[in-house]
Amino acid sequence: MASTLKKIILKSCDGKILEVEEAVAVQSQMIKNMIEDDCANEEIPLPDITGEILSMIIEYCKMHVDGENNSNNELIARDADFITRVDLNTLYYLIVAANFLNVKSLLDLTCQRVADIIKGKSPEEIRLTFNIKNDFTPEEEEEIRKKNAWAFDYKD
Amino acid sequence: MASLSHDAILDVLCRLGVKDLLRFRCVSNPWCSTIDSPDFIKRHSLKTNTNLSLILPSAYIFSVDFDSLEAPQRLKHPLDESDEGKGTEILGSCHGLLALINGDDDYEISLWNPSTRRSQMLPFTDIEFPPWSLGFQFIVHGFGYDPISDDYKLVRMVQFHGKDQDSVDSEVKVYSLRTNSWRRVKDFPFYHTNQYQIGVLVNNALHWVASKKRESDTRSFVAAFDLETEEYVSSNVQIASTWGLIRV
Repeated sequence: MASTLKKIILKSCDGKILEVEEAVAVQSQMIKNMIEDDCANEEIPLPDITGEILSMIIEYCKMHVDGENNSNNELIARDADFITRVDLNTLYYLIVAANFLNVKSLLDLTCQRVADIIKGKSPEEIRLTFNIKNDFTPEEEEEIRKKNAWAFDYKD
Repeated sequence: MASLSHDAILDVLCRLGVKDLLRFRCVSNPWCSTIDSPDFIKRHSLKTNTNLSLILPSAYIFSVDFDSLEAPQRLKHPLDESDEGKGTEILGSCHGLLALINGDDDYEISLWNPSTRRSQMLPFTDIEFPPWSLGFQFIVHGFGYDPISDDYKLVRMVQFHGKDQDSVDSEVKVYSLRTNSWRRVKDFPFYHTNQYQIGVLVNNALHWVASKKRESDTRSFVAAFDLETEEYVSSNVQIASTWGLIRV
């Protein structure tokens, strides 16, 4: 039965070829649009997505297709299990890929995960996490801190 | 190490609470201007449906977590010190902003965002009494947002003791947050029957229960002030209550 289902062929930027059932592939709005426009008959190259990330995204989409009949709570639990296994660096790549492929629920899940990770952190920790250079002078930074001093009173 | 696009950062920041965001303003200049931008603030307020709280006005103002409904916390608000325990009244609320007035006679009004703890004191504005008038009956307020001018407006309606039993005389001024100033608009053509009513915001207009005349035609109906056009509208539907309106 499975062999008669239409397959979509995806090619990652590092040359990995993945065959995906159409029902799984259309979780990506971008691929869905390509299928509707009849542009998905040959392999689809994905220039910014590595094979490793692509496999994870397919795993996620497959989980959602297979879990269609599951209760909402079960899906939430599976999502949580999927996302907590992912480290921050991988999370960034997943966000870039979910955005490119337009998988709305995965984009929500990954962005929410980053938000949960950075909640309650100090500005210094945020700079390290996102590799951001502090371009304030010490006086400017002090001024901003003073303006909302209560927001810095957070570590119990 | 991958870096996130501006869009992705926005998507992440939208999901954070106000306290985190105020702290993250000092991460860098770009983060600060992103968090302060009106577009981001709008996006954030649309997304934030967690951390709801109820505001309980009494002698002091309390906030209680909407999910647990436990442990009310007394909030320190901008009129806390000036009202000297006389009580602060809430004149209206819209998009998480509260309009406060102190219980004292000096008529201090402040717009306050309890989430960011920022506030704006309104400038004082005189009541322009008609020459024959000895005093006013009461003052009714309403607070709302006009999406067309993207402005928050506070409406103050002063109802005077009329020349005779049936006359209705008023002075209406509108405060605009954008210009931080008051402006007199057309007088209210009806009669407020209840001084404790707060204008109810529906479809960008503030609504009150009113009647046509003071003595001879006291049938109540709903009168509205359109925040965009600043015109009055009345409904023909008569209502039995004079107590006021509740938004449902």
